[in-house]
Amino acid sequence: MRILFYDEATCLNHDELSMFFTNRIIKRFRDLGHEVYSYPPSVKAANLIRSRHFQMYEELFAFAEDCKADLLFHNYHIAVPEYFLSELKAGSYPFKIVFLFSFREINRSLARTLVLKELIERPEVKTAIGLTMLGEENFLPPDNYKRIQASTKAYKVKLVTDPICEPRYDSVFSDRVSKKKFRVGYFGRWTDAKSPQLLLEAMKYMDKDVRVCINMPSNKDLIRTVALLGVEIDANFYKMGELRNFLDKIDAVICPHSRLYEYGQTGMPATAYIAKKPIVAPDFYYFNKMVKLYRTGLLYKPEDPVSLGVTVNYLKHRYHETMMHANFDKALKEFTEVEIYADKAVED
Amino acid sequence: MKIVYFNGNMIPIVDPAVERLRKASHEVIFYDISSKDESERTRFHIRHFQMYQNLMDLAESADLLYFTCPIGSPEMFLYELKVRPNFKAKIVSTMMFRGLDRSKARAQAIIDLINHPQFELMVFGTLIQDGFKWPETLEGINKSKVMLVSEPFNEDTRNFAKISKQNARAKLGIGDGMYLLWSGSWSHIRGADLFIDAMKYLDDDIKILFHKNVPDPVPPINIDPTLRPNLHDDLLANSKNATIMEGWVPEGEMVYLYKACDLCILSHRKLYAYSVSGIPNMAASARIPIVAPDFYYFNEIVNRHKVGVLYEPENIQAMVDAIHFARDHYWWIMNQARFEDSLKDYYASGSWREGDIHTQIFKRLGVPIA
Repeated sequence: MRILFYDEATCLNHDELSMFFTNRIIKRFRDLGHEVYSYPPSVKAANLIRSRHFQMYEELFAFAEDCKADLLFHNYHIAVPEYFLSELKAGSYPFKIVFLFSFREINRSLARTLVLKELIERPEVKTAIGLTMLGEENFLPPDNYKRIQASTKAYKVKLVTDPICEPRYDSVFSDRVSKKKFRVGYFGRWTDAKSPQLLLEAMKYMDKDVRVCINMPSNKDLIRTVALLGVEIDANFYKMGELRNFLDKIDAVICPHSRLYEYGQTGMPATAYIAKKPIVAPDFYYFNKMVKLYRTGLLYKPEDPVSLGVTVNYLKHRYHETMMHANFDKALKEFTEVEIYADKAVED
Repeated sequence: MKIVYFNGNMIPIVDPAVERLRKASHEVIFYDISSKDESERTRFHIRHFQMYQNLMDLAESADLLYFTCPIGSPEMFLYELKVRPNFKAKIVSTMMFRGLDRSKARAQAIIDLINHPQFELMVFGTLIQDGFKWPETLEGINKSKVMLVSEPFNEDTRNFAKISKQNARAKLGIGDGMYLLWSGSWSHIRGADLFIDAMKYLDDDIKILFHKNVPDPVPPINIDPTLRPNLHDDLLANSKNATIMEGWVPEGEMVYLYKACDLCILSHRKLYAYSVSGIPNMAASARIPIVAPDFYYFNEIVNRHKVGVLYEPENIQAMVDAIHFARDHYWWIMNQARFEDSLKDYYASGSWREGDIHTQIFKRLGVPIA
């Protein structure tokens, strides 16, 4: 089969992580005996596509036709599915489509859910891969999804647990890193949805011996501001597999995510579990289900700095007990490897 | 009447009709994205589907939902309408034609939106009103729900006649000779790179006033990744005959650029077809011809009123030849040009700046406005 691989993350962000995933998925397609073309063909092309946002899918479909693709594989969830759907409606295409989708937006918007439903029902769509963090068995679909599920051609939907970002390694099950300080950490981008700002606000409710450590991209202004609050900054940009340099120095991982992240996938818990660190996470899906299933940490009231601060203190006092109950290995079994996308895309 | 008045633009709007509607005893909720802090604006920008969700929640009990900005994603807005079968407010929106000529999918979304029973009126900003050439993609659009109006610009061109060429040149510190003006944002669509490449082929007697209309330093949001990164170096390398200006020109001072020059070059790419631009309007107000790419609206303005010459879009050699032609036939072009007529065409039904467009829109809707 001739497959056109479209990576929207590469097109929109062109970051190292997406390139890493891209190469692995393409390799799996090739190992399975398929011929793979990649789109966009260059960074320059990606920039041009971005500049014509509502036409980006038109150009993608034209490219797929030109290279006589049998299957268009849309990696990463479709950023603007309504544009994608409009383009499909406006034309007639010989290829089949496999795409990924996240339940995060479905949870928040009935309109987006309706778009997805119509998209799945298009004759061109072969498979829609729904990304969860809990596996099919433990997955509770959001209300919006349940509303359309009955009428959607459900056989086209395949649920896949979000693949893990960091390589797995044999970490040592240990007690606190230091007896003097209880060190909790956040790593990742500085965005509204991930909301590290909440962690900074929560600091004043934490015990004096709690130390907050943050691994963040080297934004000098932000680093200066955050350092003034007494936060320990690790401004190294860790490449794939190097994050353990940061994780090995902390006792627990804080997930300060806002409610925008409900039903959203994040690599933070899995990365913490690999390093055998508990998480302090907001009490909403998927975080709460994950923590309750595998006892991998504690929950706090979402978007509440007092609750987050108090929960960190509680974890400090009950650290040993929490670690004894946490089943990191079992939780990690939920997470897949990225090659599963290719497997699901080509299976009947 | 309860009206939700929505500005989804990042920049504040000119003449919001909010106060005038309130004076006419309407209950007006002004939902203004430009007044929100940066993080909220960015959030809405990224997640427009939630912006419409919030907006529709707000307008659930309203009689009229008024967009004073183009609907950025008509596709998504349609789906918000689909999931709200009991939505009772009438909807009025502004829109631009740009992109509708080249995307069947986008044009169909606009047609579908206009056909929605709750949709009352679509107000299109245009540079041509009488004799407007509809894009083929919009065939079948319900014209009874459409209104064409002049697109607003920040510059008030009525004071152009008050400034002389000598004064303008003195103000900018430039001397004698034939000056060609390029003014615009540092972007792919405006073809900054095309003109910079053309500069090295221009005859030495053509002097250039190059106005890079971006703040200095350029904020990240204004950096167009589709332009080559060393473009400014190329500009400097080709600037033997050029005076380079950088930065925003304060409102009311654009007149000096146009009055100081003899010709104005537009290097826009084809993507700009059916886009509004203040340049033909300002050039005509300053009584200087334009050298413009041959696509709508530019070709229509030049062909109708003989206010310049056209060249094959995105063709650097054609651009250079057209500039040389305009220099060689300058007085022939000036004698033919009907600048006044081209401005009348533009102001055929008034402008947003004066606020009279709002009056017309609400009059047409049967909604009293002070």
